Amino acid sequence: MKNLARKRLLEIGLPLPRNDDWMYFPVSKLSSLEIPAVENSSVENKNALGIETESNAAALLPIAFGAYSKITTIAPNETEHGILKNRDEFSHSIFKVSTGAKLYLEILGNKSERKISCERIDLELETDAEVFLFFHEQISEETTHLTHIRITLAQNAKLHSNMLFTGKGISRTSSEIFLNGSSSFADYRSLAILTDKASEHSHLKIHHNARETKSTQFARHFLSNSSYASYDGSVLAGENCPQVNSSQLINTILQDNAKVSVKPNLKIYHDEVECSHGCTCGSFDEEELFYLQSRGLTEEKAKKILTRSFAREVFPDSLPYSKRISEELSKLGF
Amino acid sequence: MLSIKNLHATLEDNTPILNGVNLEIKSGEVHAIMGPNGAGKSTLSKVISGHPSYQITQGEILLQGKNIAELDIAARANAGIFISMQYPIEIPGVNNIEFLRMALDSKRASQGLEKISDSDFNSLIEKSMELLEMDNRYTERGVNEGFSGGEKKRNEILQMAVLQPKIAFLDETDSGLDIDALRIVSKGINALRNQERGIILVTHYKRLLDYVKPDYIHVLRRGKIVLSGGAELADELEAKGYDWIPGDEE
Repeated sequence: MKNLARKRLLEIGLPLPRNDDWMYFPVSKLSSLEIPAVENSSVENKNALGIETESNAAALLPIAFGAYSKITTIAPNETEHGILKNRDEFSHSIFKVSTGAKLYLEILGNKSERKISCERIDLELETDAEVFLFFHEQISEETTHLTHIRITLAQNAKLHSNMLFTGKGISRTSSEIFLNGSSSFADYRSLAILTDKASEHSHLKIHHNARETKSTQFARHFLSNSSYASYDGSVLAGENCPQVNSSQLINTILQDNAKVSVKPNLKIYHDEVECSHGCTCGSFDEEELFYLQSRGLTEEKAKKILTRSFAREVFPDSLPYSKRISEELSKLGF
Repeated sequence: MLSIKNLHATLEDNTPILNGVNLEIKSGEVHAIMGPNGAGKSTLSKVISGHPSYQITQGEILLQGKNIAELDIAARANAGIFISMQYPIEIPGVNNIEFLRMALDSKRASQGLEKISDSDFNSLIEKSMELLEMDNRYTERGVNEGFSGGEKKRNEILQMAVLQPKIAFLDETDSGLDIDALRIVSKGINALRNQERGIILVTHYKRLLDYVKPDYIHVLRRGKIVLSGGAELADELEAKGYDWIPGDEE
């Protein structure tokens, strides 16, 4: 697989600013990477994990740089809880969630202090499988981290993805979700709380490849100082996929000199679909601030309360990881 | 208690909106302010509480002899001004009772008092919620989160009961209330009516005044009070509307 990834990466090259998928990311940070040469080796599994046709460099980099692919299989109808933490500079984890199985997976920030680190996570959900994901990116200053998450869902499979970005460095998290089985469902929630010079880039593609599939995206950014976030979210509804339902909502609160770029994309190839998207960007609502201050709270305290409300609304109490996320937000003063 | 003297206020673009309001509220009194839509009733409450969209161009707002017009919003609230909003906002993710406690502690801090103890706070909440016939939903949810219009109004009176203001300005507290909710909210207002507090009711309808008897009724039109009278004025307004009121010509 390593050689396939190298070969493919040499074909498509490292990302450039003119690549649509990388237009917001400071690609110059990757210029020091040198793609290793293809080695003479035995026959490899052709097109494993879609590598031969992969167009996203982030999906290829960890494998091309020699990441060991660690495979975990959840047996049919079993429930497993897992935490993924200390990974290598280049890592690759594969989770195969069998029919009817449930996986609760917490992916904590990679503590690698390397200047550049890349990882890939594959989740394969068979029929009726369900995955609850909590991903917390918190890389340190002066480091750049790429994560690529590829998720395939068979019939009736369900994904609940909760992403929290609180790092201080530069990160790009690309998620590609394939709703391949009818009635499969993906819920993607993300919250970025960035300050100083943090730069976080979310790139999401949801492929509705079967009928009656549903996806929801709810992303919020709270950005202060000179931080920068981008959200590039695409929904692709296939031509033989009626009754697809998808929604996308992105809200941003900007303070100081912070910046955000948002790019919603809907590619619809069937008439019988319902897709919506919305985006808001601004500062605090004046009426909300007034209401809180009229109860005796200072402007500073009122803003803190509103920020907390803004953040916590992304992850309602009914979610399995809400308490865990709440703890993380409390640590950050939210 | 509260003296509003020749109060003029404008919007940020200098559009005049209050044109010389004079009003004197003594401790223990209940005043009702009525008037047609756009008369400036809600604006008056916002100007008194310091809403940033309005600027005072002339006049004074004296609370117990101290001009509060120069204070910021929070300082006015902590000095004893409470506004029950016409459209209370929702703050999901911030527990309703935790919020009340923060507000109460903020007021106590401004008075040099320590934070309220758990037992005192719980007892205060329990008593206030019982008065307003409120159930556990109000303690479990975020501030006004998912509340109906009537529930939000009831929650406003709960805040008033906890914060114990000197002056409570209740802006259309009766709007959106069904008959039972109106009775309960009115019971709460009457229970909070005492000699330490002045209450100003803003309403379009006499029905609230049937439950909460005002000492005085004022008609506000085009940004100033054009008529004042006793409780009986409500019947006259209900019967005749506002057009007959003298001294209100264009």
